Amino acid sequence: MSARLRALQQTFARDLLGTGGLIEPMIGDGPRAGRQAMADVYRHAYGARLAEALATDFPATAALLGPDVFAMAARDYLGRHPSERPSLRWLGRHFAADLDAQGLAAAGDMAAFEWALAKAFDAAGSPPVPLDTLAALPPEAWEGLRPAFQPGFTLLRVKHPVHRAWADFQAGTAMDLPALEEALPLLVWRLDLDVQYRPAASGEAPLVDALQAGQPFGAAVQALDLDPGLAVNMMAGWCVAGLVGALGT
Amino acid sequence: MTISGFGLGLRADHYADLDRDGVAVDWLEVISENYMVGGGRPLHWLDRLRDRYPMVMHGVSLSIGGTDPLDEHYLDDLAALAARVQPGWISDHLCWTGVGGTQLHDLLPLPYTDEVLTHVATRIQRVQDRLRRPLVIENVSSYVEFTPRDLSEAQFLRELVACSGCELLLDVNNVHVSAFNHGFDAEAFLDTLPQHAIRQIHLAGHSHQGDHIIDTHDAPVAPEVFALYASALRRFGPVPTMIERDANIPPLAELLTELDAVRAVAHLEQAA
Repeated sequence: MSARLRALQQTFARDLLGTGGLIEPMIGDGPRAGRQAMADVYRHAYGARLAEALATDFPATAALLGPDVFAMAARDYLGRHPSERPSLRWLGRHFAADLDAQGLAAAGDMAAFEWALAKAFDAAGSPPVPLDTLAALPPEAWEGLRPAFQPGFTLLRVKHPVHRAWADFQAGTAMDLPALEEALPLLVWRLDLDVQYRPAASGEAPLVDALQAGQPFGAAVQALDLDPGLAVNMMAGWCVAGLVGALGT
Repeated sequence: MTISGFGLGLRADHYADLDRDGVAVDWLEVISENYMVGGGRPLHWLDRLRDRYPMVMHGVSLSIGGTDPLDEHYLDDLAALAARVQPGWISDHLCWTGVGGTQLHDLLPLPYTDEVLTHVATRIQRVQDRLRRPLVIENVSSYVEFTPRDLSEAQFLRELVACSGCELLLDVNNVHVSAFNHGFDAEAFLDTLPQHAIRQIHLAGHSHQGDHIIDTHDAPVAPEVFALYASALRRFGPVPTMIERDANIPPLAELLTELDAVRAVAHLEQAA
């Protein structure tokens, strides 16, 4: 590796990340524009490109905050969380938590929802377990059953009704995000090519938590004191909706 | 696979319009990173359109001029995508995109020195060994030139081909943009490149700012770039050529009309 080249790149990067004024001593003037104007092209492009990428991945969050507040939130986020992956696809993975930490709770919830939608959109997936497979299980198999949820599946807990606001945003109507008294569990996943979401039914979220933590079905149902018939129906619903990609024991 | 004629960059806006018979596009270029995902709609359309069109892969994140170690996960994903797409070739840019683990997501320029030439050639050879094929390297638009330097950009590219065995993706718009920004002669740039190594040509639009030009890919190809393209064809012959459009993406029909204009330039040059 070239130590000189590395030092140059580190200096250039420090400039772009906010220090400024470090590029000019390393370059010459252009024939028409001075070196500062030309270095500014890179400085402007860095912030603008990444803010645009965040706005693309979080359109409802951007609409909720408005252009000025979103631009400021994006700039602050990028300062705290510079990109670490080659693909811009992953730039926003800490954005929801960052907004929440800055006191923007509703926007943080919306960002978490949009991130879950993005995850479901292009995650790996396997064919859903058919309901017939579930129906053919002998009764004794249910006790040790371990369903594997699709990789793009997310169980989200939000304190604002972001799923309704998202629908409003999609319809082009004003978003309303009142704070809820209790956290609302939302399921987000993909069926075939289309991203799906819905609020969890009563008792559904704890069962998902337990199964995702590795507990077998029987033990989870018992520990949560769920009605077994209701739990079986939940499992059947997950299979029909395509949430479950495999059944282990 | 033989890639010839005139292509377009594959963009999600055009998936459905491309999925029919009789579209006047000979091949498609896919942005590698857009399809280095687990599944869903991107890979669905990639596979579907791959059945219709030959494809080449074009990356933006290899950072072949970087000083961080080459990203092995990225190379694994790139190789897996190549196995899926079976592209005519795989290209990326002569640039660096980050340092110290931080990704800057820009095609940043390099100092054109002998030391950097050796560094980049060594990394290209490693990638070529991993992908088992020549890497195709694109000249970037640039806004600054580092001093001091040992070589011009065109000389650097020529030597890179000689040292590493890579091939070249000649972005004619980038030559025009950089020539204006740095005051070099675009024709002399073309004269310096090794004719045998030109595998593909990019055309794109830019934004003129008066005292400098920015490579924006958000507008039709400028007349000056068409003229330089004709000049390139006189030197390099009928090289597979495509239009890159990344912003203000028009309906497919509009891009096809622009591609017809590219075809016309090429046919006129061939007839001359």
